[in-house]
Amino acid sequence: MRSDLVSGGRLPDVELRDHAGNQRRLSDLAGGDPVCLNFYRGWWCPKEQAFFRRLVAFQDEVEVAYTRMVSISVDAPEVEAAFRAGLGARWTFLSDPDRSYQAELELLETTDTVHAPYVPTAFTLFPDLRIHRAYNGYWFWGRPTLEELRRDLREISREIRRDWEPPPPRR
Amino acid sequence: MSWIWLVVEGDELRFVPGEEREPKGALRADPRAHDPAGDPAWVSLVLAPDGVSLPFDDTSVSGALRRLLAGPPRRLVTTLLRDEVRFAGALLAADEPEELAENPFARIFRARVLQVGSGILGRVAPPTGPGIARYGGGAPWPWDRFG
Repeated sequence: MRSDLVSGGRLPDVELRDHAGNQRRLSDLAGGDPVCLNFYRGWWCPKEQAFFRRLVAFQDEVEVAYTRMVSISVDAPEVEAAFRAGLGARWTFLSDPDRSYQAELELLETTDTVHAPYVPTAFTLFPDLRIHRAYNGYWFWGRPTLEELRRDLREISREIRRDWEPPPPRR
Repeated sequence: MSWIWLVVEGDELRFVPGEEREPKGALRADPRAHDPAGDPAWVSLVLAPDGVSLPFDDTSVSGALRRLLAGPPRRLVTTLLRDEVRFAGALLAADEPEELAENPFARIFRARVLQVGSGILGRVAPPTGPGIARYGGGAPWPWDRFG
């Protein structure tokens, strides 16, 4: 992974097609909210299936918490759409079959010469794509737990939400 | 806050800028719904009966939003708000009528299908998800940011 993709660094504003074929820009998907972003190998990987089941459970909280989720792989949009539907995921998947950002981000999984997927990597991001934390998920235990994601999103939200402390009563 | 007024007169749809005074009977819609250069569209329009509305946070509304996010992409969707907190319907637009066969909001109030000409409805990429909460009063889902 590129050395600056760590806490305090900034992810590039990637522009890719989503699972429905629409051209999307990451900053637009963030839309002013914190983001949970993960690069994943593909639908076929059992570790990804286990991790996504975790994320699908998490979306029930995220959907009411002004937070976005985005997942990126080298799978084609229609493959991502099928994977997403099978999981019951309700967030946006981005498709990079040309591996447009893989070299730039240094996220090619070199040990898989068949699929040439992204190295599983998760980020918690500020709305301006600054990295709060990065998680190397090459080994499954390197991936964030839901408790870690909750902690990160609380920290980001506390920093960006000016009304984190409820406004005092009007006089 | 951002919205545009939608006025439904029979089978006709008319949009009025949100800055203008509220037209009689108007509902608040996502401002991106209106496109003066938009293509003709088929519309599945769900409207609450006169005198009826639901809190936007009603579980039936939340459930419809979840089904929309999990389902196939739509050309355009906007909820319709009576005021800052009251759900009064939804508008789904498509290029072909078959795409409107399933409208999750039709489980809340009755839906009717309309055909509208060009210059009325736009196209809006689907929301990022999985968010279903609005950004406070007066921002009809899926308007996707504060302000």
